[in-house]
This record gives sequence, structure tokens and C-alpha cells, in this order.
Amino acid sequence: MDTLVLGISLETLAWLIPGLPLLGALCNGCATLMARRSGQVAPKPLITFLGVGTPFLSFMVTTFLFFIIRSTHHSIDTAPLFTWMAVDDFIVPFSLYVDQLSIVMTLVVTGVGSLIHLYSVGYMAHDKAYDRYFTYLNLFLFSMLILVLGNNLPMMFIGWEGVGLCSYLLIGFWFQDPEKAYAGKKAFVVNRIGDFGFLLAMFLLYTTLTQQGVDMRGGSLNFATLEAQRQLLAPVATTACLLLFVGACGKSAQIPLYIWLPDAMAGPTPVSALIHAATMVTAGVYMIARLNFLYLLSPDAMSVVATVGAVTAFFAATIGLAQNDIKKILAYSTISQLGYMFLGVGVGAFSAGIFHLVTHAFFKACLFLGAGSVIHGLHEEQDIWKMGGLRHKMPVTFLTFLLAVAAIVGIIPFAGFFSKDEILFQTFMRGHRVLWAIGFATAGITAFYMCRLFALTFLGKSRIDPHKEAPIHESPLSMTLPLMILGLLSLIGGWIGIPEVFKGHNYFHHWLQPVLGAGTLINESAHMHGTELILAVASFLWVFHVGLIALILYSQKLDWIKRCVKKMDWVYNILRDKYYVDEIYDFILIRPIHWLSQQILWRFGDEQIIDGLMVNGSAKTINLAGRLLSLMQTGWTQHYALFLAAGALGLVAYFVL
Amino acid sequence: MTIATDWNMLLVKGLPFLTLLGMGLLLLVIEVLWWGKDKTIMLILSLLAVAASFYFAWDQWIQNIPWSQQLLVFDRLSYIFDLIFLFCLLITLLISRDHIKREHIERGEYYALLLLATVGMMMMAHAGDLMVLFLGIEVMTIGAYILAGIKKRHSKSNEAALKYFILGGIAAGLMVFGIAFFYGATGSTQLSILNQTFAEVDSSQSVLIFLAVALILVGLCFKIAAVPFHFWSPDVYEGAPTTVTAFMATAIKAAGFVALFRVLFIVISLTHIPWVPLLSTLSIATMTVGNLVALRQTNIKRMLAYSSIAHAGYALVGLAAAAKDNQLSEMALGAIVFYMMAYAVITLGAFAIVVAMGHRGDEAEEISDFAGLGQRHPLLAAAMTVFMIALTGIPPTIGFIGKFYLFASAIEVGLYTLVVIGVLNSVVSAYYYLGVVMTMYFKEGAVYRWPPLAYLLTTSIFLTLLGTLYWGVFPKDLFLMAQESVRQVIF
Repeated sequence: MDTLVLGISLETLAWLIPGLPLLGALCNGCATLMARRSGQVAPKPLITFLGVGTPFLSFMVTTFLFFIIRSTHHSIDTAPLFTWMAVDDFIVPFSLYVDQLSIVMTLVVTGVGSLIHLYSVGYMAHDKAYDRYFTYLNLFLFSMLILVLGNNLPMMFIGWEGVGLCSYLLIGFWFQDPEKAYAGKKAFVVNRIGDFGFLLAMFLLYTTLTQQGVDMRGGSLNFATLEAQRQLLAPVATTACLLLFVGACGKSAQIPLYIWLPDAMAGPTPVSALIHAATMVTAGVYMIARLNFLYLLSPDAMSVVATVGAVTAFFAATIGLAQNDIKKILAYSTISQLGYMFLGVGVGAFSAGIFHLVTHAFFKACLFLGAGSVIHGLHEEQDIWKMGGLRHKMPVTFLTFLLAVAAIVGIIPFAGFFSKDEILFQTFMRGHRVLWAIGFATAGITAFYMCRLFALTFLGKSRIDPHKEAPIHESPLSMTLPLMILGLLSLIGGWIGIPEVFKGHNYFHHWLQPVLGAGTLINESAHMHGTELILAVASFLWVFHVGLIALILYSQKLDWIKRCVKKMDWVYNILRDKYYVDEIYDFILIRPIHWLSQQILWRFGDEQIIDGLMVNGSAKTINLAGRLLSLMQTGWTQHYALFLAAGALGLVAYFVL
Repeated sequence: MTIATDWNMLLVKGLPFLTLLGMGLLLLVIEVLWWGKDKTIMLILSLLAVAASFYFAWDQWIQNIPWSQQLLVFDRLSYIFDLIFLFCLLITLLISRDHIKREHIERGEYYALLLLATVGMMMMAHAGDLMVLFLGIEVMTIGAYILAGIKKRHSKSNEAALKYFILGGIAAGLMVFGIAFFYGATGSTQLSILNQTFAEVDSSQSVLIFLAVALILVGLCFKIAAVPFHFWSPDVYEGAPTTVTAFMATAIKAAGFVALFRVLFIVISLTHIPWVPLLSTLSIATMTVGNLVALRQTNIKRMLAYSSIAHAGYALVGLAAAAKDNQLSEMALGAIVFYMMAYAVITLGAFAIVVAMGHRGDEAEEISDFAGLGQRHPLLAAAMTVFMIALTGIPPTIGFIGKFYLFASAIEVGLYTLVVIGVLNSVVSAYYYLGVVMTMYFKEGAVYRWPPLAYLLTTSIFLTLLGTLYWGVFPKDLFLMAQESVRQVIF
């Protein structure tokens, strides 16, 4: 397709989307390095201009491309920028693929990403490493866009690893604090476990296709080839899908690899909003939707995905009930919501999963940024029991937070209602009644802990340290503006997918149909409207009442709550200590591995055998040999002549005899 | 059997060494008549002679018209070695000027002897007769004896010269003995006639011939310092002026190898001699002893002496590979020629830096003198690092390429054990080569102001560094040249 826009081809525009943040990262990185060499900090206006400007430009380009695709209904598959690898018949071209699915994802990434960049200007204003922060953040955006836009699995994997790296760098952004550095390390290690699955899946797919003699010179493992050859992949589909899902579990924090996400809250709050709520952690969902043709080959793998999703949603939500750190609650809520998305894609409702991904990006980013605003205003206070009554002091934050809470709880007509109920409805209709029940229960728990959080933070009486109270103020415009936009999106974001039962057109699902196929949504014929309506109303009433009770209890009946907790303290403790999962992992995995590494592999294997016997032993032997041989070098000419004569004799004897 | 000599042809073909010979003699005359103290004119004349000679040799190599005049042969093999000798001579001259001034040995005969010794080497390369070969060896070695002892008031220099002379005398005696046996057995010392004789007469039972081959080999192994005929070299290398050591370690070693080639071309057809085991044993002994003893050296010149023994051992790997099937294979010979060039470039560079380290009254020959060089003179240290890496045989240097071709040629004919031992030896050598690098960068040294390096010295370091790196990355042309040189050898 060579449509020219202002003399620029669409391909070039597509390249600009990841290219601009990369440019920002490079420029900011160079500026940072040069400034550090002379012991200074790079000029802030420049950093801000590049760091925030490039994502915004990228967003504008994306919007533009979105409208192009909307009018032409064509996807854009760019020619390779260069061939990344060419080993025998394994060829990986570096090219992008922009279709209905990836453009939606790109809109979310660049749009929410730009807002969070803007927010960071205010949030990080007083940080010494302001320049380094924006370098990493831009680099993250670039990696995420490569992940989303890459036209083959290896390129997706570049992005996959790239976002993992940036996540590590940003969680450990304040690395002077060993605990935060440790959190970064934990995230990285757990993600690597998942990446193994991803890698193995790629190997499996590649070998399968090669053995079948598929011509892959146009680019190995690109999505188009995989989709075209999917029948050949049928025998290995279950294994491949499960391996890929291991990768998704790592990146998207699902059981059993979710443990890194709560600790990842050690990073700056905008990072939590961007990476650990809105974009990176949803990569797993996106990957499954991208490979929907592969997953559809394996009902077993799909049901594993759905079950893991539902269980994770429930499990994380219960932990969220008893947390006291505002960001930790949001982290568990993220895990829980990701579980919903996996439930959606697992039952085959791919577009519902992606729909929830989009709305979740809006309201969860809003929640995190709101939490950031509160933390910023209270000077790094994160314990919700030391907040309260903030509605007067931070009105903008309060209002936007309210919108987002309404969205996540699922109040009509907020964004979360439409997407969450779409998932629950599809689950129900496809016969997964147990999973639906879990999801339904989870919705109530979600309502409870979110309202608890909201009430303890903004309602009731102030429990803030008296001497901290005076300087509390609303955050600057650079922070409140993104909040307002995201708050608005939390309200109206769901309207793009209003189902027919509410007189909508289900626009979102129709948009994704070319990619995800017609069979991904159960056709909403009229006789199902009744069921859908009943389910929706039931779910609405359920969350509404639970939420209301939580609001009242936590804003006005705190004494009663405290007495209740005291009576049931064993349940409360289990929840508060997160079912002791970290401790169990520590006991059955980390400690044995530590012991093995330290006592056997290091102390014995490395120090004794390799260093002691092999390295130093051989060196000592050789040294000794050298010493013995050098004894012959006496310095006496007579001796030398003797050796010479002996050598000559030896040679003659060798010849003659 | 006499053939009318084509004198014009001989004059043209022999111009490379005739030029040097003339200039060497001229310098001796000038030395007597010249009363000025400044010997710069000598250096200039020598360099001019080298340039002219280089041009003639290059021209002949390009023309590639093999011609034999019984006593002397003119083929590409001899000319490529002429070029190697001339390169060694050039770098030696360049690094000599300041060194010999410091050491008070700046005399006309220094230059004259260098030139005449080179003439001897060229005669070895062009030898078509065992007597010419011997003559060339003697011309070369006598020049080297005197050069080694040119620091007359220096006991170590005297010791070096005397040891070299005595041991060299023994070796030369044995060799001449061997030539005599050849004459006794076949009635000729001419290589072409010997070749014919071996082809026609079954000489497998002739003890005389075996004795002759063994004794000549002893003489040549002495020249290339193969174990167990190497004992002279560390002592002589240490005692001789550093520039002379550089010349001996490179040019004389190359001359020894070309002489070995010339003899082996003939005697290789003696099928009853197990050449491969013999040369393999020599090779293994030479590289192992060289490397192991080099580990324990504290003097940089002694260390480089043992290193040169070890490198002769590596080159012998190639020779063992070449001797397979009783005919010298082109690929392996080409690899050896290439290795001689590589080794000469790197070693001359390393010696140039040793010379650059010295000052009046302090020649700084201990490895510990290199401590802290990384800070005192980063560029010099960086250059030394490159040379040490190249001697170890690590890319992207010519040292790696040279070793690669050698070992590849041995793999080609299935000498796996030999290659494994060679590679293991390279690992051992990394210890003492990189030890110098470690000393330069990680040890505290005396801090003093570094005097500006002499212009000629800098030039020679730059040239060798350039060669080491350029041919390390683009070795093709040089390697093809080495291959071409061994394609058409005549007797």
C-alpha cells in the first residue's frame, strides 16, 4: 500500500510510532550520560520536551493511522526495515504489522502512556534522576510498541524482553534502597522464568514448521505464516499454547508467577500506573489474542487459561481485602482484573478480553495516578489507615478517583461495567458455569475492597499525622490534567462496546472482527437478550450493594469493623499475609536452590574442583614443570654444548637405527 | 658439468643482495675515512640501500621468472624471504639509532654488519648448493657474533658473543660434517643433483646419507633454536643489545626456516626417514619447553627469547603437516611463510617498545619496569597490549591468523594431537604474555616524566602496529602472496 500522506508513506508513519519514543530515549540517554560525566543534571526543559513530546507525537501518528485503517479496512504490513537475523532458512525481518487489533493496543499504549508521561513531569519534578527516569520511560514505550507492532514472534519477544528490562530498571529506580533494588531483581527473575516458556514455544513452532517443509523465507514465525499454516501446527498446539501461557503468566502476573507484581510497587507510582497496570502486564492477554488462531486449535489449553484466570481473579481479590498499603491494594486488584481478561480470552471471547484490557487501562491508570497524587500530597504516606477525609483537600483527585472506582466496581454506565459483564456473560453462555460463579463472586469482593480503599482514603474523618496535615494540597495541573482525562475515559470509555441489549451497536467487537474472526463472540441473537439482561442486572445489584455496605462501614463504622476483624483475626491474618505464598516459595524453592548453589555448586564444585583442582592445580603443575625445565638453563657453555651434542647424537641415532 | 653463466641475468636477479653487499662494504670504507662523530649519514645510506634492495626484490617477485644458476636459485620463495629479511632490517635500523647512541655503540660497522648479515641470509634463501647455504649461514652468523658482542665494555654482551660463537661453531662444524658426508655419498653438494640422485638411486641403506641428513638438521635446528639446540638463545638474546636481539629473533629465525625448506625439499623424498613423527616430536618439545620456561622469566628479553623458541615450535607444526606424504604440501608451507611474516611484524613491534622503554643508563629490561605504563604512557601500553595479544594468538591480530593457518594446515592432514598440544601451549603462553599487560595496567610503577619518543622509534612502532592489526583483519592478500611464493619452487 503506497498511499502518501503529506508526502509520507503509511509505512514510514508506522515506523514513526515506535521510532519517536526510541529517539526520545536515545536523546535523553545521551543527555543524561553527558551530564553525568561533568557531574551535572541534564537541563530539565530539554528532557521534558523530548520525554513527553515524543510519546505525544507518537500518539498523534497512531490516531491518524487509526482513522486511515477505519476508512480503508486494510491492515499495514511494512516492508522489513532490515533483516535482523538470517541463519540458513531462519530469517527474521524487522517489520511492523498494523491491523485492527494492534492499532487498538497501540492507541492505549501511546495514549495512556503520553498522559502518564505528562503526569510524571509533576510527580518526578523534585527527583535528582529526572533525566534517567524519562530515558527509561521512553525506552519502555519503544519496547512496548515493538511488542505490540512486531509482525513476527521473535520481534514480539524483543519487545517482551525489552519491557521486562525497563520494568526492572524502573522498579529499582531508587536503587539506593536495597529493598527496592531487590523488588526489581525479583520481578526480573520471575519474568525470566516465564520467558523460558515463550522461548520454548517459539522453538517448538519453528521446528514443527521446518519439519513439515514449510517455506519460511519470507520471515520465519511471522503471524501471517503461522496463521496460514495453522493446520500443520495442530499436533503441537496444546504444548505450544501452554508454553506461551507460561510466558503470559510471568508477564501478566497470573498464578503461580504473580508474586513479583505487588513488590513491583516499589517503583515510582507513574511507573506502576503505566507498566504494572495499563500496558506491560496486559501483554500476555494481547499475545493470546494475537495468536487466537493457535489457541482455538487447543480447547485444553484454552480451558487452562480460563481456569487460571478465574482462580487468579478470585485469589488476588481476597488478598486485596486485607491490605493496608494503597498501592498494594491496587496491585492485587490489577492481578485480579488481569485474571478477568484471561478468563475472557480463555473461554474464547477474545474481543471481550481486549475490551476489558482497554477499559482497565483507563480506570486502573486513573486509580494509580490518583493514588500517586495522594501519596505525593501526603509526602510519601502509603498506609490507608493514616489517611481519611481527603475529599476536601484534594477535590480533583477525589472526583476522578470516584469515577475510576465506579468503573472498576462495575456501575452502569461506567467503563468497567460493560467490559466485565461482557466477559461474565460470555463465560456463562459458553457453559462455564463454575468459572462464571467465581467471576461473579470476585466482582463483589472487588466492589468491597475498592470501596474500602476509597472510604478510608477520601471519606470519614482524617487520621493523618497532625504535623503532616498542614501542607497537604492538591497536585499541580500536570498531574491533575491526566487524572481528569482518564477519569472521563473511565466514565465513557466503555461506550465503544455497548451491547445490543442496551441499545448499543457493540462497535468494539465489530471493529476487531477481521482479526479475531466471527466465531469469537457468541452471536447476540434476540432470544439471548433476556439472559444477558438478567445477568447484567444481577451483577449490577450485587456489586452495588456490596460496595455501598463497604462505603458505609469504612467511613462511619470503623469501631465495628475493628471488632469484627479482631474476632476473625485468623482469616484476616491469612489474607493480610497473602496466603503465605511468598514464604512457601521461599521454603520449597528458593532455600533449596540457595543451599545447592552455595554448598554444593559453589563451595565444593567451583572452589574445590574447578578452582582448586583444575584451574590452580593445572597452573601449579605447569609452573612446576617450567621451574624444572629452567634448571637446565645453567648458564654454563659446557653444559649447553653437552646438551647440543646429546641432541645431535639422539638425532643421528634416530636416523641410523 | 659447466654451463656458461649468464652474468647479465645473474646481475639483474641478484640485485637485492648485491645492493646490500655493495652498501655494506662502502659503509666500512666510509667508517675508516669519516672522522665526524655523527653517523646519521650511515643510517641514511643503509636505509637507501634497504629501499633499493626492497624495490628490486619486489620487482623480481612480481615478474616471477624462476631461474637457476646451480649455485644460486631465484624463485618466488627466495624473494619473499628477501622481503621478510629486508623488513626486519628496516625496522631494526629504525629502532637502532637512539638505542646505539645511548649505549655508545654507534659505529659504522654496526650498520655494515647488519647489512652484510642480511646478505648472508639472502644467500641462504637463494642457495642452490649446500656449500652456498653453508657460506650464507656463516656470513650471517659471523655478523651476528660481532653484533651480539658489540657492547665491548659490557660483560654480558661479551658473554653472549662468546657463547654464541662457541656453540655456533660446534653446530656449524657438525653441519659441514654432514655436507661432507653428502659429498662422500653422492659426489656432489648441488641440490639439484642430489635431488636427481635420490630419485634414481635407492639410498635407503646408505648410512652416510642418514648421517648427513641428521647432522645438517642439527645445524639448522640450532639456527631456529629448536629444542634441544636452543640453549644458546636466551643467554645471547639477553646479553646482546636489544636492537640486535630483535634482528636475531626475527630475521635469523626466518633465515633458518628458509634454509630448512631448501634442504627439506631435497631430503623429503628419502621415504625411509619417518619425517612426520620426527618433526612432530621436535615441534612438541620446542613449543612446550619454550612456553613452560617462559613462564618463569622476569626479564622481558629472556621472556621474548623463550617466546621465540615457542613460536619456532608452532612453525614446526606447519612443517610436520607439510612433510606428510613425503612431499612438501603447498598449503602448509604457505602457512609457515605467512607465520614468519606475522611473527616478524609482531616481535619487532614488541622489541621496539622494549627499546622505547629504555633510558640512558637504564635499559629497563625487567618486566617489572613495565609497571604502571598504562598510566605513564597509555599509547605505548596500548601498543604493547596489542603485540602481546598478537603473540598469544588472539583476534583481531595477525598472530591469530598466522596460528589459524598453521593449525588449519595440520588439521587438514589429520595431525589432531599436534594441534591440540599447540593450542594448549597457546593457552599457557597467554599467562606470560598477558602478565605483561597486567603489569602495565594493574601494578603501581615509578612515576616520572616520559621523554618524547624518538621520531624513528615511533614510526617503527606505528608500522608494526598497523601491520599487526591491518593484516589481522584483512589477511587475504598477504596470505595469497605467501601461497604464491611456495607454488613454484626450483632447485
